[in-house]
Amino acid sequence: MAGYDAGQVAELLRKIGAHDELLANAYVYGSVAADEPEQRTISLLHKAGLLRPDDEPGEFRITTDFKRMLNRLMRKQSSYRQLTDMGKVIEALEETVYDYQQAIQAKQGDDAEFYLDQLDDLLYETKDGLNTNLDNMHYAIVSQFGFVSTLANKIRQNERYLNHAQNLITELQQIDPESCYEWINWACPNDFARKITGFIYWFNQTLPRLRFIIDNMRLSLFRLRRDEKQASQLRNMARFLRQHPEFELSDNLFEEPTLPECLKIAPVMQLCSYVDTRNTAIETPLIALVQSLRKQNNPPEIKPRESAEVTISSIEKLVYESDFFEEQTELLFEQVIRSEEPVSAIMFWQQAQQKWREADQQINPLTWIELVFSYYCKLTNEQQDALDIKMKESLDQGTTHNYTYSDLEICLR
Amino acid sequence: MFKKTVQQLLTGAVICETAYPEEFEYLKAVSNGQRVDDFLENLDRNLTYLESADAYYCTFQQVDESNNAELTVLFSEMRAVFRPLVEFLDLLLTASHADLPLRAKSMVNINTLFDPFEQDQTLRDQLRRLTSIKPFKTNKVETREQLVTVFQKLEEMHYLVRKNSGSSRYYATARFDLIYLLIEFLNDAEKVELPEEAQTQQEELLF
Repeated sequence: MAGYDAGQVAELLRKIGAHDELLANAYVYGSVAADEPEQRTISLLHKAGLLRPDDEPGEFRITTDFKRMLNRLMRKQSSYRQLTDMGKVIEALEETVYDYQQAIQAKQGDDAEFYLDQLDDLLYETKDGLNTNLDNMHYAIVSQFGFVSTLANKIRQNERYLNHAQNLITELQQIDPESCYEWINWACPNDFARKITGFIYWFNQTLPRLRFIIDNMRLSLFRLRRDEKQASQLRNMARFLRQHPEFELSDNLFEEPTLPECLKIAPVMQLCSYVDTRNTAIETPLIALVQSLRKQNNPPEIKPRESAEVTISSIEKLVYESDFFEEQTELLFEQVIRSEEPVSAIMFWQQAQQKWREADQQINPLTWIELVFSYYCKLTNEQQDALDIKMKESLDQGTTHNYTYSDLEICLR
Repeated sequence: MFKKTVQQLLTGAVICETAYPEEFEYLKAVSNGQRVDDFLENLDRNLTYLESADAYYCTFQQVDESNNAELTVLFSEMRAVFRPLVEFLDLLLTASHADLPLRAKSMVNINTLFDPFEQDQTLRDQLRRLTSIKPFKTNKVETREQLVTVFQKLEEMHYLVRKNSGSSRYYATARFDLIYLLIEFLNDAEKVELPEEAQTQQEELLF
């Protein structure tokens, strides 16, 4: 069939097997250098059509055919783009079907068998090519375009794949199952009809699969673009924060009307409960708990601490300094309490003049009134509740709430 | 599982596959999620599912007197960690030469970060700056120790989790995704004018 005998194929495979590492290196690293000891091997592989000379002198690369085979077997992504021209395929199929039909009807058995073989190959190649395409695309999505590492390239690859998948669907839509059924609309042999219906069945399965892949590709592209946006926003934010050290998030961000739902993070709720000691159902575990708490007999750990000397300076004795007029104010308050009569600050001042002069002390009446007032203000709330202060005031001319005070009176409430 | 999940949600957990696998599985079932949401409704909260991070957490329904004070506390906490976290994420991007920021389900191996930091003075300086501010503040001077402190702190704050305490592999939780959401919001709501061209300029300089 293939034009070669099995021996020739086996020999080629043996060559591949015998130089597996060299070929693998050339495939993985792109090229191999033809060093002295390997010179012969490399020229042998070159003759066998497995290696080809590189642009760089002395270096060899894997031939395109062999590479394509390896790519396909290793699920590499370069072959996904072999776009099948469905229009041409359908045309070829139609011709073969016509030839087959003519041969059968003319009872030319051998020729009919040849056409049937040809049809089988055509159908198989079409299906296989598209299946590989779909597998590759599926693999690309599942691995998240793992064959390229950067986000920008992933996006680019995703866009390409998506385009390709969309082209494929346009191509596939050229197949009309109805006209395929027309091909078997005659008294045709069973195995021919089976091949055609098998093809239609495969086509009906493939279209939704491809649509599913396209949907996933769109989704994956959306996600990749979102990732890219996220990354660039993060970098820009970091740069912005460095440029604006004063920037802070707003205090009441949570009150923003435009805040998206997903950022309305709820505050933490403190969860705790108390024990209902009257509940007999939990008595036993509760007692056990109390007991275990009582039994805590591990003494508190004494942590080693750094120690340092403390110097104690000698105690200095200070004489209590009292203020003469503060004592006098106290006397005024005392008089109020003793006599249970209101005492005017000015009256007290006048009466005390004699005594104060003897003690060689004097105070301006205005200052005295202020002193009494401030003393009253310093009293505790309870004391202020017991004692009242009445201001003798007159409204300032031309104002509504400004007063001039001439005296004040302390009295019991 | 209902009780455990609700407790976690009310105490501020962001439930994603990495941080709370069991609770996450529980909430994945639509009927369970609905049940939890109905319950939270009584407490003026919603169960929110963040699709981009595949995570669940509690959100408030409205701002009023009852929650104003608590929200102020929560958002001022967020404010306090926002800058250091953005700095950290940016630093990590630079150090790991990655273009995909750390987010829910990403894994980062701290061992792979020591080398880049030790070889790059700029990264070390940035790390030193980062560890001089809360919450990453430390007196450690060694780059490794500083990095370990940052990662430990992020683990305490539930941004990172480890499968076991000795592991050097840290898994990111969906909390990071909330930071990206916040950045997106700030950008979209024009709260900040993010510089746009700098990125392309950088790339041009590279080639």
